[in-house]
Amino acid sequence: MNGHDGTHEMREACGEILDLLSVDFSRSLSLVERERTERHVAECSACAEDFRFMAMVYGTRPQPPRSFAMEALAQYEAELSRRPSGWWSGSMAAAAVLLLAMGIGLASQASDPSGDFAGWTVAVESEEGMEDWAGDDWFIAGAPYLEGVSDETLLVLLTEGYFE
Amino acid sequence: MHRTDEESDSQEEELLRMARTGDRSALGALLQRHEGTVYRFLLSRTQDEDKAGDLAQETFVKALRSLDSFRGDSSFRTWLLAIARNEFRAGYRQGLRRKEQSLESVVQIADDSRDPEGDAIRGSEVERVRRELAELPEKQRMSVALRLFDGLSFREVGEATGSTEGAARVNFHHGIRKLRERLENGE
Repeated sequence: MNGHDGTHEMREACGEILDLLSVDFSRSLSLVERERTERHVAECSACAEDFRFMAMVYGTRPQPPRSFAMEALAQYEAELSRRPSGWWSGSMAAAAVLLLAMGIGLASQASDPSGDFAGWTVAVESEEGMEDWAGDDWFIAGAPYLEGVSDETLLVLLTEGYFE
Repeated sequence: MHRTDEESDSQEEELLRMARTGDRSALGALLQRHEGTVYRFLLSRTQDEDKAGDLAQETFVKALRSLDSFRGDSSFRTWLLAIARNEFRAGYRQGLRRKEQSLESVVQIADDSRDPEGDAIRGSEVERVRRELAELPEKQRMSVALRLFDGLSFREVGEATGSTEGAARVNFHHGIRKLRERLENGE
């Protein structure tokens, strides 16, 4: 900054004061620091001028046109509301496997009068999740009307007793 | 009445504690406390109001998703700015390119009636200052914005701009001096 041409001590003080003045607008100064800067500025016209300039620049500070924080909070809450809780999702998975097993068992009995598959149940949960839970092309996985149905939808169908 | 850093820190700690329990008003207050800083940081980097807004919102969403991972090794503000910096870089990789701010967009910002502090100064004056500020080298521009507009320490400015504390201080003072020269010479 220009104009700080006093004694060496004064110039050193000016540097510190300018550092402090630059955060004065955001009210970051302690009471002691504020009193120190006020005393200095009262005696140093160059620092007073610099302070006025910084105040003018501060006056052009852009403001967010709307509250992005609150919009983000609303977005996050919407995410949370769509996400099943740990307990719920765990229970759902367990229920789905159970219902699947029951459904497969009932279906096998119905479609297999000979009884070869009586009591035969399959419930496989692969490492990839429930995607391969029917295991092969039999029943659910192979049913044409269920092609393209998401796992999420299958879970809903299972819990609503669609396959019972 | 000026608040001290200690008072401010203790308020923030309390907000953080409450936010971690899921207190919605505390979460909102915590984010809103730094909303302007994050937005201005991103505006300073992108020179584009819309992109800055989008990135600011994404920054806050990311922060909310990972609030539990904040350990307090840095200030919450510094942590947010680090996320904002990453968001900017990710946006840049996806095709966001810094563009030279046209005179029209500068005027648009200057005339924005949603900026009460800017309204206090004549529009043309605001326009000139913002235009000259935008012309400063990036690190000087960001150092001026973070320090003067938001009161960050030079250490925080350095962390946000990828510089050392000392470099941040030099960038700030060079930026202010250059800005003043440009504005005075332009008159």
